[in-house]
Amino acid sequence: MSDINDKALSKLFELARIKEETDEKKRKKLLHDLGEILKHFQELQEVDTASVEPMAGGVQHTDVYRNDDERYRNDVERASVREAIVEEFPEAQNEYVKVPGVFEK
Amino acid sequence: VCLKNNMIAAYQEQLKNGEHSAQEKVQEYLDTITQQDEQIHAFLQVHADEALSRAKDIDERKDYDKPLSGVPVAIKDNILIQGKPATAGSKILERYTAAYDATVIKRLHDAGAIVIGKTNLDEFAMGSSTEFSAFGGTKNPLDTSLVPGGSSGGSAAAVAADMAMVALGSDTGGSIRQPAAFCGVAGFKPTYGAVSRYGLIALASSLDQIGPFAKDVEDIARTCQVMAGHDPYDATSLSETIDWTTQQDITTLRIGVPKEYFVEGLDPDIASAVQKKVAWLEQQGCSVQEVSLPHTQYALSVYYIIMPAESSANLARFDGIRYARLEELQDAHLPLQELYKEQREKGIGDEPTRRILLGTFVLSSGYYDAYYAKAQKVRTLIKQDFDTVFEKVDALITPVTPTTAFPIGAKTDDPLSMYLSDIFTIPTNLAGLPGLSLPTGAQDKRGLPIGMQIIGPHKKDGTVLALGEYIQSHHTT
Repeated sequence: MSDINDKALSKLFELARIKEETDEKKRKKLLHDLGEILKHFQELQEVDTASVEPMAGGVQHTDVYRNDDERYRNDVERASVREAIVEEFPEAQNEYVKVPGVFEK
Repeated sequence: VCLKNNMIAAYQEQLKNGEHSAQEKVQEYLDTITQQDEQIHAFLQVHADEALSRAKDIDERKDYDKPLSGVPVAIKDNILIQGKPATAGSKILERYTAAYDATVIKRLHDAGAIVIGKTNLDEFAMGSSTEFSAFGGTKNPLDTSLVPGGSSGGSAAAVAADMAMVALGSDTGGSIRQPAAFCGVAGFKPTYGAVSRYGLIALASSLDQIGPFAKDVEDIARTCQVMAGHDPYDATSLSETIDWTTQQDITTLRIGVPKEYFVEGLDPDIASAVQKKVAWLEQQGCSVQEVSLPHTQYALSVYYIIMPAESSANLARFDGIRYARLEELQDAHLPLQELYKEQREKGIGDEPTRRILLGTFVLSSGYYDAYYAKAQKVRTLIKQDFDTVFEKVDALITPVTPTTAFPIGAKTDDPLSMYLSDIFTIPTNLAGLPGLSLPTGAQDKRGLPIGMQIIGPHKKDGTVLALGEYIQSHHTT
């Protein structure tokens, strides 16, 4: 088990796409808090899970299929929801979401 | 605050015999909001005009026969209502307007309910005190120097202060049951999958469940019955029907008291109030036995790995591209990565940021097996503990919280101590079980209400509510 150090914290901000905290005091507090929480997690190491299957969700998952039938294509209510979703885009062109260039620096 | 029997049924009787109109009732609740809410701050929005016009419509058509006809309902602000803001308590969604109705909103509407407004919450439902709302905290109506609990603190406070007859919350690790206990009302987390989450802003998808607050367990059952049932828009919603009838003979039930819930750190007043209630049930004919859920102590660690992992993924969608963008960044013309980072740094508060970082860490290469995979396995063991115990008993009775409501500001600087306030509610979410938080009727030394929790097997929500209803209607202290 490893702690999060200052360098690792920078990497986490980068992975999470959040602008890095630069205030020294806040950074220290954040490292301290995360460290305390991770320390608490250590207790899990004492549990024997060698033959235990992981539980991924709250219900037994089965694949859900839906026929692509007329009902869905001509659903007026869904069409208006679609419009409303497009309206919420901060930037849109026609009915598409507008995104700044992905490869521009 | 005290529980009231058959509130909705009695109110609808009054509607039918002309004693009250829905408009008068809605106005009464709106007046209470005007008088009380400046102090308490349970609401982020009040939909006065819509609520009154809907009440008028119901009165004109004498449409009083639906299960929730005329009932003023408050909705946690992480549940979508078409055309209304849905902030989830976060600055990042301040300018967002919901594009559609959540399934629960549709079903409440169809059942005659009147939405009166949207309630405050910890940002993205991350918190146990409602202090982490970007729009200011909510105060406990019983004592405004105390927190109402959280994250559904606004909904709990609204019901406690008679600003709504029923309120909806969401419960990922106790966010309905803990504030219900702090505010002295009833709150219920149904079986995972019993109620559709389509239109709920997700926190942790394998744990989240929508449920109601009310002053009456019967009203909780009634509201659940309206909301429950399969929804093709939520793949995790159950296709089986759940029996919601509370008219069951409870005196033959086998009650289990898990010893791991009565440990150091639990307020002795709470322990004794819950134990008294159990002893009373035994007198009524229930059989009572001590049981063991041996992995209980690991639930908090498991939860604080799985929940941040899932929420770090769920919150990735708030990137300033698809939903609202902060006003200050609207015309900034930043490159994509910069826009993401600025938007999320400025828009997301300290607690969600902490959890996003934690979730990113436990999922990251090199740590995944030690944290996330390990937590998923221990989660299996926690669920198996419940499976084993429910072969011997029909319901479990436990405390809801280790303490009664705590003072505002007491835990905001210490995340771990805040997390510990959910220690008795988290295992239920990890196992996907129904859990009811109900006032015992007893108070602690400071006069604050003490809650109890009833936990049932998967899909036995009716049994849990029947037991709660029986306790509420037969026993006051």
